[in-house]
Amino acid sequence: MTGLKIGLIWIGLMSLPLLALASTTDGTIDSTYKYAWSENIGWVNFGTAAGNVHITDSALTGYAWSENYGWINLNPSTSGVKNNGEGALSGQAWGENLGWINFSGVGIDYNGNFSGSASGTVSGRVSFDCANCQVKTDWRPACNNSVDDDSDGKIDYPNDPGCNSAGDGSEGSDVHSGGAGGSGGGFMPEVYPSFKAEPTITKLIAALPQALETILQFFKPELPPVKPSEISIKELIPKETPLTFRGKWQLLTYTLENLPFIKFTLAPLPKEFRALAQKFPTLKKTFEETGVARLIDVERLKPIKLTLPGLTESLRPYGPIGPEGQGVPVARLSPAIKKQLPSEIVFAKTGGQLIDFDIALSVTEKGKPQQKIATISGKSLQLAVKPDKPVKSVKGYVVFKSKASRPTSLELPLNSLLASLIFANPVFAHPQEKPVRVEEKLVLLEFEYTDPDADGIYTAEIQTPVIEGEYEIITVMDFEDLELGKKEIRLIVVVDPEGYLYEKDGDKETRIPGAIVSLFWLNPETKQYELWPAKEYQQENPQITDATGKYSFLVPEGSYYLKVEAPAYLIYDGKPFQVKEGSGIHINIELKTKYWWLKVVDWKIILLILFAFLLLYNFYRDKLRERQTIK
Amino acid sequence: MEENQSKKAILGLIILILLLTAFFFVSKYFSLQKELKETKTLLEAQKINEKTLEFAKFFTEKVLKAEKEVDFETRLKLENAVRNLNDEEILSQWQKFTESQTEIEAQNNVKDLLEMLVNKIKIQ
Repeated sequence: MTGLKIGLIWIGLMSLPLLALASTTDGTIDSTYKYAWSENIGWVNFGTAAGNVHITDSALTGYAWSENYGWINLNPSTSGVKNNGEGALSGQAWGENLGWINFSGVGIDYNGNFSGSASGTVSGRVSFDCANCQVKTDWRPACNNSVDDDSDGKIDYPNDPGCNSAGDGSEGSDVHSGGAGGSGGGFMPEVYPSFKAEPTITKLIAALPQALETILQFFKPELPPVKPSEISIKELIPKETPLTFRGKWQLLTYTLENLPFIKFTLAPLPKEFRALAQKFPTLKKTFEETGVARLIDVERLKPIKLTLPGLTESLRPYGPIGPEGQGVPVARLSPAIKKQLPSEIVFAKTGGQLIDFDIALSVTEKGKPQQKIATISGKSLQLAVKPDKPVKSVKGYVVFKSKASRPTSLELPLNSLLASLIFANPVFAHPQEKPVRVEEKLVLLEFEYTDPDADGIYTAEIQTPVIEGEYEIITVMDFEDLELGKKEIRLIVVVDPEGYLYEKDGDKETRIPGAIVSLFWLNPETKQYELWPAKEYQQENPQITDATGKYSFLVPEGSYYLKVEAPAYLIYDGKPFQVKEGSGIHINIELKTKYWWLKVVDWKIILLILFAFLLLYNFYRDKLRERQTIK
Repeated sequence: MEENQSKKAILGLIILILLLTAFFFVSKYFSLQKELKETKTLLEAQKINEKTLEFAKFFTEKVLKAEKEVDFETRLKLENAVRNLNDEEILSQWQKFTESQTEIEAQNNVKDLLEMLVNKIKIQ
C-alpha cells in the first residue's frame, strides 16, 4: 500500500511539468550549421529558406531538404516531430521518397545544438553531429531562453528557483519536481535519454545492424537520384500570382538601369564601317540589302567575303574611263572623274598603274575593318590617296611587322595561286594625336607622295619588299589647316614570295636556272590564247630564270596558262586558270628531266654490268675449253 | 630430391605469377577508381550545366517572353526546376525575383539571376 502511494506521488510529481507554462521561444535553423548527414541519402538541409523550419517548445514544423530525395515534412498530419520542451525530440517526419523518419534519437541541448541521430527505413541513420555535419538552432529551453516564462520576476537558471538546470524545460514551478526521463522533470539531466551512457557491448550490439547495413550498401548499386516531389513544392507556391508573373511588367526593357544594354543593341555601325559605306556606294547597297545596320551586325560580317572595287572600278559608275577589266593611270583621268574619287583611302596599283588591286574587306577579331590587296615581292607598287582638305605634305612609311601573315577572320578573295599584299586598318584616316607614331627602328622605307598635276590626288611609287612577310604602310597627311593637324592611314602589307621552277631529287628540290617561262592569256577579242603583252604592264614575258629559278607576273583579270621550256627538261604546259584583278602569278612548278634514265644508270652501274658480262664470258670460255679437252 | 626442388621452383613461379597478377589487378583497380572519380566529377558538372541551361531556357521562354500571366502549373514547374539545380545562391536569387515589388526591382533581379545562371555553367 505504501508502495502504491509512493508510486502515485511519483506519477503526480512527474506530471507537474505538464502544467507548467510553455516557453515563448520560437527558433529557426542557423544559416551556417544546417546540414545533417546520412550514409544512404547524403546531406539533409534543415535551413533552406523555402523549407521554413521552426522549433518551438512542443514541435518542429516546416520542411528539410534532401539533395537526392526532395522534401521531408517535419510536421505531417498523421505524426510530426515533437519537442518535450527540453530538447528531447520524438515522433516521425515524412518524406515522399523516404517514408517515415523517426526522430526519437535526436536531442537539442540548451545551447541549441542538435545531437544524436534519426532513423528511417530508406534514409538509414541521419546523423546530426558527425565530423562534418552540425545542425544548430536559436531555440532554447525555458530555463535558458532569457524570458521570464512563469512571470515570477526571475529569469532562467540559476536565477529562477523553478529551474534545476539550463536544460530545464520549465520555470513554472519553484518546487523541485524530481524524477528524470519524464516529460521535463526538474532533475532532468542535460544528457537526453537516448544519449545516456550505455554499456559498451550494448552500444556495439546496437551499432551492429548499422554497420552491416553500411557493408551491404557497399555492394549495392547506388540508387538513382529521385526527383523532388512536386506536391511538396506545390504547398510552397502561393496560389495568388506574384507581381513578377502577372505579365504586366517588361522584364527586359528600356529603363535607366539597362540603358547600356539598349545602347548596345541599337547602336549604329561603327564609324569606320559607315565611312566605308559612304565612300563605296556598292558596299552601302550591300549593307542595306543584307540588313547590316547596327553594331551587333558586325559579328555577321566576320565570316563573309567582301571585295571593295579598285581605283578604276570605284570610278567607273561616274563615266566612261577606259576598257573593261583594265586599270587607268590616275593622270589620265578627267578632272570631273577625279573629283569622285573616295577621299582618305589609299588605292594601290601596279603595272604602270594599269592593274588595280582588288581590295578584300575583312573584319578583325576586335570588330575593326581591315583591307587587303595582293602582290608579289620586289614588284613596283603605285599608291594614290586623295586628302579631304589641302595638305602641306603626304608622307609614307613602310614598316616591317612580322615574317608570317597574321590570320584574319576573312580569307583573301584569291585562289591558291595568288600572292597577297595586305592593307589593314587602312581606310580610315585617324587624327594623329601624337607625333608620327611610326616605329622608327622598324622603318624600312620612307617616301613622299607627290601631286605634280595639282589635281588633289597624291601618288607615290615604291618597290614591295623582297622578303616575304607582313608589313605596314603608314600614310601621314599633314594638313595646311593647323586645327586639322595630321592624319594617318595605317595599312598592313603581307608580301608573298615569287614562284620558282624546281626539279625534285628525293626530298630535296633543285632550282632550275635558264628556263624560259612564258605566260599566255586568252585574248577576249580573238578567243585564242596568246603571249601576254607584258610590256604594256612594265614587265617581261617570257622571263628567263636566274640561279634562284624564280619568276612572277602581276596580271589583270583574265584566263591564263603557263609554259616552261628548259634545256634537258620536258616542256611544261600548264592548265588554264582564272586570275582576278590585280593579282600575281607565282606557282611553284616542278619540271621533269628528259634524260631521267641517266639518273638510274650512272657510270658505276655501267661498270658493274660490264664486269658481269666479262665474268659470264669467262665462264662460257671455260665451258668450251672443258668440252674440247673431253673430246 | 631434384623432383622436390623443381616442384618448389614451379610453386614459387606460380606464386610469383599470382602476386604479379594481383599487383596488376590492384593497380588497375586503383587507376580505374581514379578514372571513375574523374568521370563522375565531369558527369556531375555536365549534369549541372544541362540543368542550368534547361532552366534558363524554360525561364526565358515562359517568363521573359510571357505576354500574359504565368499560370500556376508553369510556376510550379519553374519552382521545381530551380530547386532541382540544388544551388542555394540561385534559389535565393530566384526568391528575390519572385518577391519583387516594383518593376525596376524585378528587372534588376532578372539580370542578377541570368548572370548567376550563366556563371554557374562550367566550361571544361
